[in-house]
Parts: sequence; C-alpha cells; structure tokens
Amino acid sequence: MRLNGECMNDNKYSLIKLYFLFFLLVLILPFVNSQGVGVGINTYSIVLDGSILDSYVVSPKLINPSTYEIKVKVYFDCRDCTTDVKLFGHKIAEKTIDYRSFFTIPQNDFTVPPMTYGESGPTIVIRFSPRFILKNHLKIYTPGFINFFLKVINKKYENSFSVPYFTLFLGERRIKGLLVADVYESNFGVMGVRPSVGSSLEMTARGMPVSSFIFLLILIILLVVLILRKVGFEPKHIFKKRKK
Amino acid sequence: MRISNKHLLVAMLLCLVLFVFTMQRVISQQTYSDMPMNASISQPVCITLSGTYSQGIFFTNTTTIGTQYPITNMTTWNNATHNYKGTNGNTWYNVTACAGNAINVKVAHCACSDLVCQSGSCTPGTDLLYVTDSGGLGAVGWANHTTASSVPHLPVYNFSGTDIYQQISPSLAASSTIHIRYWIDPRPNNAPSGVYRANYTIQAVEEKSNFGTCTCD
Repeated sequence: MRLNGECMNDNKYSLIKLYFLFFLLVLILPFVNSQGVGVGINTYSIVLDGSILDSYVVSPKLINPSTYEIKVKVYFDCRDCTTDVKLFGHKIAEKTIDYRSFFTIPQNDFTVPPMTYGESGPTIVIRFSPRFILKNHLKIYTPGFINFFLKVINKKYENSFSVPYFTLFLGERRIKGLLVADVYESNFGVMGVRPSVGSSLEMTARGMPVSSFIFLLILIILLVVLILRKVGFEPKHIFKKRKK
Repeated sequence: MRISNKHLLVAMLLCLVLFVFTMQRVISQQTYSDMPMNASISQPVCITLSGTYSQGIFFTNTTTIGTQYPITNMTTWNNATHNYKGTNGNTWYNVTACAGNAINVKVAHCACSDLVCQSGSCTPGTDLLYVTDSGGLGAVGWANHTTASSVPHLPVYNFSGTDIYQQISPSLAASSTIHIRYWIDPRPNNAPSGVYRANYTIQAVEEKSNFGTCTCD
C-alpha cells in the first residue's frame, strides 16, 4: 500500500510538474514575440529660444521600455540647415549652417539600462549658447569636364568639395529638426531592425540687429577719426615719410 | 609729447578688438534677460518593437513559414518568415506605442538601400534586389493593420524608395500596436543566386511632426 501510495504521489507530482512546465511555456510564449527592443525620449518637443547673450541647458531624458540594455546614439537631424545656391537656375553649391554655432549636444552616446523611465533615464544635455561668429560650409559641385581631371588626382573624389567659412550672427535665425535617439546595439542579440524616436526641436536665436551693427560701426569710425584728429595725426604724414 | 603713427595704429587695432568683444554685450537683443531658462519639456515619445521584428525581416519561399529557405519562385510574392505565426496565424511583426505616451505617435519604416548581394554566386556589392517596383516587375511589399488578425494577406503598399521614411502608422495611441506583414517579389527576376541584404530602420515621432532623414550609418 505504501509503495502504491508513493507511486501515486510520484504520478501526482509529475503531473503537477507537467502543468507547471506548460504554465511556464504559456507564460513565456507571448514574450518570444512581444519582447523586443524599444526606445523613447521623455519629451516630444523641445524649444530653444534666446539671444547671443543667453546660455542655458535643456535636458531631456532617454527611456528604455524593453527588458534589454540598449546603446543609443543621439544626434540632431536638421531639416533646414542646408539651402541650395543657384546660378541662372542651376544648382552650383549647397550652403549648410553648422547648428553647433547655436547649440551643442556634448554627449552623443548613451547606455540605457532595461526598463528605464522618467527621472532615472540618462540625461541628454542640449547646451544653447549662440556664438557671435557662425560657422558655415559651402559644398561646391564641380562641372563634369573638371571632375575627370580631379578623379585622376584623387580616385575617391565625389564631384564636390566643401569649404568652411564664417559669418557674423546678425538678425534672427530659426532652425527646425529632430533630436533623434537611435538604438544601434543591444544585449537582445543581433538587431535586424533599428528602432529610433525623434523629438521635434525648434530653435530661434537672435543675433545683433543689422541696423545696430551699422550704427555701431559708424560710431566707432567717427570715434577713431576724432581721436586721430585730436592727437594731430594726418594721413599726409605717412606719405611724406615714405617719399623721404 | 607727440604720439607716433605706430602707436596710433596699435590704438586703432585695440579699438577694433574691443569693439568686436563688447559689441554683443552692448547691443544684442536681450529679450530673455530676465528669464534665461526657456524650455518645453512635455510628454514622452516611445516605441517597442516585437522580438521577431527586432531580429529582422527574413524572406522565405512561398510555401514555408517560420523557417527561412531560399526563394525559388521569382515571379510571385514570397512571405517573410513570421508573417503567419502562432495558433492564430497572426503576424509577429509589430510596433507598440509605450503605455506611458501621452500623445499619439506616427511610425515609419525605411530601407537604407536595395538588397545588396552579400555572398553566393552573385557579385557582392553589385547585384541588387530592388525594394521599389518598376513596371509591376516586383518589389518588397507590405500591409498593415492595428488588429493582428486583420492584416491583409497580400501587399497593399510597396517600398516607395530607399533612404526615405515611409509611414506605416499615421497615429498610434499609447499601448496600441501596428501589425505588419512583408513580402518580396524579387526584381530583377534573373537575379543570380546568393544572399542579399539591406539595413532597415523604424522611426516614431509625434503625429504632427515630420520624420527625419533616414540614415543607417
């Protein structure tokens, strides 16, 4: 009887084990499908507004809704930084304003732990601090008949070259784009599809008004002339000395 | 005491330098001088891909589902491996808007390039399978629906191009899911045997925002 009883208990336990395993399988199965990689930013809109005197920081945070650790690349995708330069209706160059003259994102690479929400997420620092001297790039497209010769010298030449140039920040400048958080690696395994989210970023920066710039320039010239006259400086002296 | 021309020139130069350095402090528009912090931080934008989707889209032959086999029929729609899975035969490719989203998001996908030959009899980096259609000769097609069981069984859309975000959901509320099925009708039909591959991305933005530039570097 005892043996039989034990045998029955064994059967009962194996049945419980079987139920338990089945229950586990039922629990795990949906996750095989649903547990993927995800990403988020805790704001869908960022507004930067100020003048060249202002300097401040906006700090949105990254979200990781998945159960995997993710590595995220954060960058600004500018929509209207590049404009065409045309000559007689033909595009000859592209003018690109470097958004880093207005604001910077010092850190671009983040590791976000699983299930990270709210304040616990890594902070993306956007430092708004417009400069008085702006950096631009001019990408010039060379005509076909020149490209042949340039490719003889440099095989990797891509029919255009870029020249940086600087301008004074006069007037107002608006920039629109997306702050993108792009997952490029995860402990999920090999990722075949890269998820990313974009938070719209609008910047309005005010530099020196053109009228003020002209006014100040005239004022300075007048001041210099006055000082020169006061000290008895005459341009003729320079020429006379040179002649001697 | 008479000042020499050299001294005057130095004075002028100093004036100019002083002018450049003080200019911005003197006359710039100080609209926000009394309120130097100005930021708009509001609701999150967040998505999660299904596990199968995160792994990638693997095309198989017309009849086999679940496991990837080489495509032999070049003139028909060939399924992605997880177009029909599980007991319900639903697709396992889906994107879910996070429960914490307070705004609706729109979702887009982008093929960074056509499918480029990786290995096999095809010439690596040269032979292609196009994702877009031309003259009804084939493409990579897809269909979508917010209910898994209602996703069409044949492509409704083709990829519109490479390096362009194509919308797959115009408005996805928090905790809602968009389900997608993928197919390939290889173009050109005489593409040499081999393994072809393309990078693929998904982007979500707030429903009134524009998608960004599709980059896969």
